[in-house]
Amino acid sequence: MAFLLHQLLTESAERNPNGVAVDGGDSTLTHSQLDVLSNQIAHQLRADGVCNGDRVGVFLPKCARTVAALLGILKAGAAYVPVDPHSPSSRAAYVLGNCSVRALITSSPQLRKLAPDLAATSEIQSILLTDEPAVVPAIASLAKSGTVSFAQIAATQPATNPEVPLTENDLAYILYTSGSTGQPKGVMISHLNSLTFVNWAHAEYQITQTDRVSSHAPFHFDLSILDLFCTLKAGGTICLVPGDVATFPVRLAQWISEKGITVWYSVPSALIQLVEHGQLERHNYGHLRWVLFAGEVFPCKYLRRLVQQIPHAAYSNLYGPTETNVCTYYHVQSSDVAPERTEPVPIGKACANTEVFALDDQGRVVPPGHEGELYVRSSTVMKGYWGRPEATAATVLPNPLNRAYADVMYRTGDIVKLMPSGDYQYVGRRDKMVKSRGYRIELGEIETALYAHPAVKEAAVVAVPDERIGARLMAYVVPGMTGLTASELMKFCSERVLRYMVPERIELCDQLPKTSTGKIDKTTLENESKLYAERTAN
Amino acid sequence: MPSEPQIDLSSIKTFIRTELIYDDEKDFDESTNLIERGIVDSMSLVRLISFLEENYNIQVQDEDIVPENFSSLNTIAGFLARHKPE
Repeated sequence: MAFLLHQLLTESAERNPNGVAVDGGDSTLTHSQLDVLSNQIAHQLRADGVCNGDRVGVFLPKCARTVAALLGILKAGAAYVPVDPHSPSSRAAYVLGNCSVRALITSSPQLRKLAPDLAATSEIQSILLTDEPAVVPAIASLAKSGTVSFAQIAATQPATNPEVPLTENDLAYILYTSGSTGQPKGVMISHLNSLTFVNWAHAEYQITQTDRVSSHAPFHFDLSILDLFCTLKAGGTICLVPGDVATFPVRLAQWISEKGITVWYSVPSALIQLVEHGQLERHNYGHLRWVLFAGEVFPCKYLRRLVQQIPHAAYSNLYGPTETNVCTYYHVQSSDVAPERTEPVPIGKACANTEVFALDDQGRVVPPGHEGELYVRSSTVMKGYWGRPEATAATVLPNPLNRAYADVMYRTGDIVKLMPSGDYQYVGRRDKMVKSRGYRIELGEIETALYAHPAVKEAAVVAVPDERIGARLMAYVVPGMTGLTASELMKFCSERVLRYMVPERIELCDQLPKTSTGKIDKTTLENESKLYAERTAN
Repeated sequence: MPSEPQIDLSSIKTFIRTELIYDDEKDFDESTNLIERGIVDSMSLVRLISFLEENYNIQVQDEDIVPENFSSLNTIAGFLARHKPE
């Protein structure tokens, strides 16, 4: 019985040692190999001083060794902190410093990228490199225990599980999401939080040893949890989508077919690209059992085309903020994609071991047919935001419906409508958060990045809804001094926020429109941006 | 690139620098793999293709959107040369 995420691998390695656990294209690991390599990484981390509850950063492109790194960290009793490998170095360094990682697993090219900013986070004791560079980057001298390569680890560390004592309430990983006050927030997820979801998804989608599950989402995005841990639980194969394949829809369609993918899981925007540009009709997807999607609304017209092109697969919509893993789901029925329908599929009903309800402004549970804000009670609800008790207290609240003992609920900020069927339909956000390609974006984080520029006097970022990607971002800036250019600001911004948060346009203006109360009039700016977006629609 | 002298890569390079990565210092040359380096991803590829269609008066078909054509400035130049309007 697994109470810890990495025990899923220990068990799969016993049941199916020679089955492929990770198909990473040019690198492949069996369950047994993944088990042994992750054990060795765990021993190395412990030898370097990593203790229970420490955090270990992972700054790597997706490959089989990266999966071993994540599991090795868990086996060492630490929480893994995956950082977007394309992140600007300042943001990566912020994340690593914010939760004060004790060790870092990376590669020498990635480490060189971090060099300008890493010095500030000097708590790093050791650096594990997946490669063996001829010249170790000078920055590695920061680590007190030094630097060690995966080849050295494999040659020197014991293959046995270090069996670190842990409980299900210990942290498994921290995923950083956009924060409204300007800095990303680290969502702390325990083994129990994660396993509650993994066990449900494994049973609901009946993942087995013969399944080949796509891994499309990056490891810093919580969709990856199903790909990794449901597949390990089943003893199946995690198929990592290579970066160049994910970029080219025609190749992605071919890859799904040739790899014999049985379970696909991604954001809808990746599937929309496949429908629009993938030439799906050129291949056969006979193995595909499930197409799972999450992270954003899937516009009905694209889902309908996908179902028409791959009719034998079953489709399911999973919903849940990172803070709750997944909390509701809905299996798509043929009537949901009927020709005349435009309404997106519902987010559905609560998963196992989960309760969801919508409350109105007065805190009353809404009856069918009404809208309210969605709340979640479940052991999937996060432990909190790293180092941000006030932000945690604002969303993880005592359950007013139960005062007998400590019981919390998570406030999602999502407005939903309770349908007569008992399913919930997503309506919109209570706050300013937007989503682009499933990624959460707080406009405040981008505005903070713009304000950090000394020549910016005023800045406002607005989002224009876009049915393919969720949202397009436009910024309006009043310069405080002459000589500031939009391209200089773009560059400045791209060094501070992730790529999907960089506005596609920055317009410099003499002043911003204001409301009668003196606030920046975002409605006017949004309307302006919509006109621009219509002119430049692809 | 001597075999494709008619394609001016500098405007494409400028487009990538100013519109896609907003970075005029990031070093990449004609043979750099733009995908592996994270310079072009699925989002920016759409914008790059729109730029090429507008500026080189070509139509890019779905089946043309493959790494063989778009993984580096050199492959883009080769693709443009093969698809130049008569």
